[in-house]
Amino acid sequence: MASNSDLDRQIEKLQRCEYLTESEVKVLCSRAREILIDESNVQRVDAPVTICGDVHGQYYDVKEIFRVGGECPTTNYLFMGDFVDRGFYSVETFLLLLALKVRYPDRITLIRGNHESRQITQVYGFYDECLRKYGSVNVWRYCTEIFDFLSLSAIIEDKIFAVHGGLSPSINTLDQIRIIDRKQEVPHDGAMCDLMWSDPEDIDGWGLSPRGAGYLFGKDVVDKFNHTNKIDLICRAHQLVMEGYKWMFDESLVTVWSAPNYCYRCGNVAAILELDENLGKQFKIVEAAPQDARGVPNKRTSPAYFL
Amino acid sequence: MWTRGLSARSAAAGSGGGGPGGGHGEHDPDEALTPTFEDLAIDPGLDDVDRVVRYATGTVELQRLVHVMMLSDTARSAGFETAAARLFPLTREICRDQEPVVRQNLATQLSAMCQFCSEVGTEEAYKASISMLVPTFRTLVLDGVDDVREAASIHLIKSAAHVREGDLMEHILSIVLELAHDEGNEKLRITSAGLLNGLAPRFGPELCQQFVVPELVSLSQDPSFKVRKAVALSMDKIMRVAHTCSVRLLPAYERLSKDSIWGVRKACADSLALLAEGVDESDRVSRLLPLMRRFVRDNSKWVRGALSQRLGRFIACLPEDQITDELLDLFLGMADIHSPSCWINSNNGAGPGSNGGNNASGGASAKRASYASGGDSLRSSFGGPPEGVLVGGQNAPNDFANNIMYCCAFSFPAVVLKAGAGRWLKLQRTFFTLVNCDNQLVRRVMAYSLHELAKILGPAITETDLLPVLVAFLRDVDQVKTGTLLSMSQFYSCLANSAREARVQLLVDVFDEASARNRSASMTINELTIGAMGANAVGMPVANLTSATNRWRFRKIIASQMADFVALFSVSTTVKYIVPLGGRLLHDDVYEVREAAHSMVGPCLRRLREADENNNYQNFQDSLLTLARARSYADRQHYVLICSSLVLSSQYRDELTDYLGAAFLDCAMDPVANVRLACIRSLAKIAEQRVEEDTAADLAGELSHRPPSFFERFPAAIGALESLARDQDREVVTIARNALALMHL
Repeated sequence: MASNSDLDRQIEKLQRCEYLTESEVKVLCSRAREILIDESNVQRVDAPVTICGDVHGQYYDVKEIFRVGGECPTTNYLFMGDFVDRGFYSVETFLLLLALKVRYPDRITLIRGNHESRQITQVYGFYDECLRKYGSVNVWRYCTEIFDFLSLSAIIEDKIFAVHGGLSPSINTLDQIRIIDRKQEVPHDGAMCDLMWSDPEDIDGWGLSPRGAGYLFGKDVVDKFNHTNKIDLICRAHQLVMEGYKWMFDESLVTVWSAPNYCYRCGNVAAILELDENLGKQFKIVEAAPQDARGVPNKRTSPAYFL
Repeated sequence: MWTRGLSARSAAAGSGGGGPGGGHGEHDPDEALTPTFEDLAIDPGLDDVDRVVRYATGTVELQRLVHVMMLSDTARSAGFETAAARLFPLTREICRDQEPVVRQNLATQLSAMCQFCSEVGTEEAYKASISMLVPTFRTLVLDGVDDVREAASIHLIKSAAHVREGDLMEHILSIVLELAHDEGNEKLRITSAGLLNGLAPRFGPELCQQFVVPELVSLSQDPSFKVRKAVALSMDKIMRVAHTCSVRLLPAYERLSKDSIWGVRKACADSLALLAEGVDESDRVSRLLPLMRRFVRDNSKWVRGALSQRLGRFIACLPEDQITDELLDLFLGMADIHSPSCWINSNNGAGPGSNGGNNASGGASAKRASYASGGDSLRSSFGGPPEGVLVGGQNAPNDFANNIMYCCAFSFPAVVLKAGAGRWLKLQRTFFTLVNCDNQLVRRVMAYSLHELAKILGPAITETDLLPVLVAFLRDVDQVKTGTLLSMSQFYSCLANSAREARVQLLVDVFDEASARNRSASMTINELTIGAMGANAVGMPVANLTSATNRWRFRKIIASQMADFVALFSVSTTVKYIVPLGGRLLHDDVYEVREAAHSMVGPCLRRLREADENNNYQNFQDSLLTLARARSYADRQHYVLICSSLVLSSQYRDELTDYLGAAFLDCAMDPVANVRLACIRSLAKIAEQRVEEDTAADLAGELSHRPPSFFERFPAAIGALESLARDQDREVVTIARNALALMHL
């Protein structure tokens, strides 16, 4: 069993964008499993906390988030899923967040996104990246097993509900989410699938999602859900928003997107939502890390001039 | 089974996109050689040593590469005996792997394992490295693939550091000599020249004089011009080993500098500056200065171009009495690339189109030659500016001119230092040419070095000639602005007091611009407050858009210099401008900016306390206390960190008054765990520092004379520690208990 000093060393490695050995990943995932298994499907989170949306393996942009918002555990974080795929550094990104979770379980919360799935990661990059970096499928297996233990949603101070995608026609109350057996691959339909795949839309009631999974839901659905569960706000991710965040439905729902210049070409900014201890909200905009902040710094930096 | 070759590209970090993931058993007919899911699943029950043994020489190339890259780490974790018995023997098979990228990575692992053996320190470990690891280099340096040979050379040089002096000849030098004597393969002789030079410092004077120098002299007469060229580039380190080496090598260098092949002469011009730094001053003047003059007149543009890149560095190592006007004119002419009289602008001479061809017929071929095709040579970093910054590309003639301008800018501060402020009038025109250059890389170099020029030239010239450029650079593109901002406090320190005080508003304006929330905000510097731009700076690009990312980075750069600004300005200016600016930085939206601003609090408190004017000191303390009593936990957390930085600094710890210290300790009871965590982390660091200082004072017999520690000044801190040891938060409790144990409480 790895000690905290081992973990601190591993976090330092990951903060330099160096990936862990396969055996270290195995131990880390085993420790993470013990922590995550005890978490609720609707994990309770205390304010203050900073909420982040999709990061998609954009490791250097996650570091940028920490530079703007403060490192964990100085600042508490809630990441709303989609840690992997698309970006070049899914392994380092997910393992850094997971190592922080194991080291500071009360200071960081990770919930599951639709990309935390065996099927999706085989198509969108994480599987290939694990193979390339470790020469075997083992690390991908360890990580996807941990995905099954990630919580489905969070509730902050009983007032703000955080989920990756959105609502489900099968779900009216938080208690109905609490009783889902989440320890499985993301199913193709049903409540668990909807929480990770659905999107808000300017419609009445429910609509079919063009994604082929989950549903579209309108303001009336959100109003009813918030009223039933005595919450003020639904905070979700899952959709690219060029300005980093987007209010909908008279500020009863907000989308937070935390992958700047998504896929290294979309030109969007990212946002994080800081909630202070009084649930005061402040969005902070994060732009993509500049080129010189990407990659391992040279041990010997070139001089800017000769004297 | 996977038998397809692994390209180096596929092994590089990053591909990231989607694409089929090689799903379970779903094979494209064209991908019949793709390994199956089962091939790629490694038995997780194997320990690292078993894995490396099984897969580093396995059938799947990707797995071989990954496991070869694990060799040195696995050796360390397994311990020497296991490594020597099971891992080191693998290297003999791996060095014959069919994939170059695997062999290339083996070279890296070999030097890391040699270092590991050296750290083990036993005779047995040393013998294992000499008998099992170093001999593998013998195969790798003979490799037919250039990248493998290059990696092997680099890591053989690193590994030689762990070989005992008495064994160098038998185990290292013999490898290099074997390459040098390979008559049939010029590539190996080229590799040997680089190795002889790289290993020279390790070989030492005796081996160098006996073997290295004669070998290099012999190679300098090689029938292959490529070998002679490599020798011309491989003399600098040997020259430094001993004077006797340079005495014997200089004639060979002089002979090469007259070689009929322009490529060899260009290599000599490339290495001139580094060589000059390695020889006696008298040799620089009597032997190398004439060579430099000959290179200037060389009929190959490429030789002259190479010299121009090293000229500044060469001038910088000459004695001052040799810095003639003629020499300065040569250097300054580089910036005047469009002048018909410019010495590098003449179009005659051989070019790369002649394949390093001969001197006499070079003129005609140069006219056909493409400038761009010579780009690789121009980008050589041999004693010149760093690689990767020189421009190159489509617009070749302009690129050539830009490269020369860049080199002039790069060495400009060194030449000004050598020439002295007294000759500024001669240098001034080139300075303005460089700072007005269209190429932003040239302006960037000037921006980074502007403060160095200010230090050399003194307050008067700094105000009249450099200050307008600083103002213009602050309105330039981000990379130029960054260079200027990074040393802004140093630049300001070079101004006369009156000029500095008059320009304080500039600092505020720069900060305001960096704080603008609008993404497309443009520059708001008030030109009336900063004075008119110098006539030479007219035409500078203005008001470019600064990205939001860079804006907070600019604020951070300013924040990190605030302590210097506090010391530079008068108390009244500090109170009026610097303190409010510091206040804004301490409340910045971005964590790292706030953190960087902490360092200004100590100097500010001291300055205001000592001046003791108009209640400024008390007002500043009160403004700090607003952080401690803020509604937001983030402000309270920063207050804790500010107090902690005061106590931990040896210079400003007394500035934490009872007034501020009490509020600091109140934060130990904060309702938010993150604030208490910041508090206990700070107290733990302070406790650690106290123990270290007490130990040092005890050893020096000064324990009774040392000033009272933080815990003596604030006895309530012990109570805070004890209270935090009973906190609800596990991390807080752990740190508090460790701190109490450290203090034996």
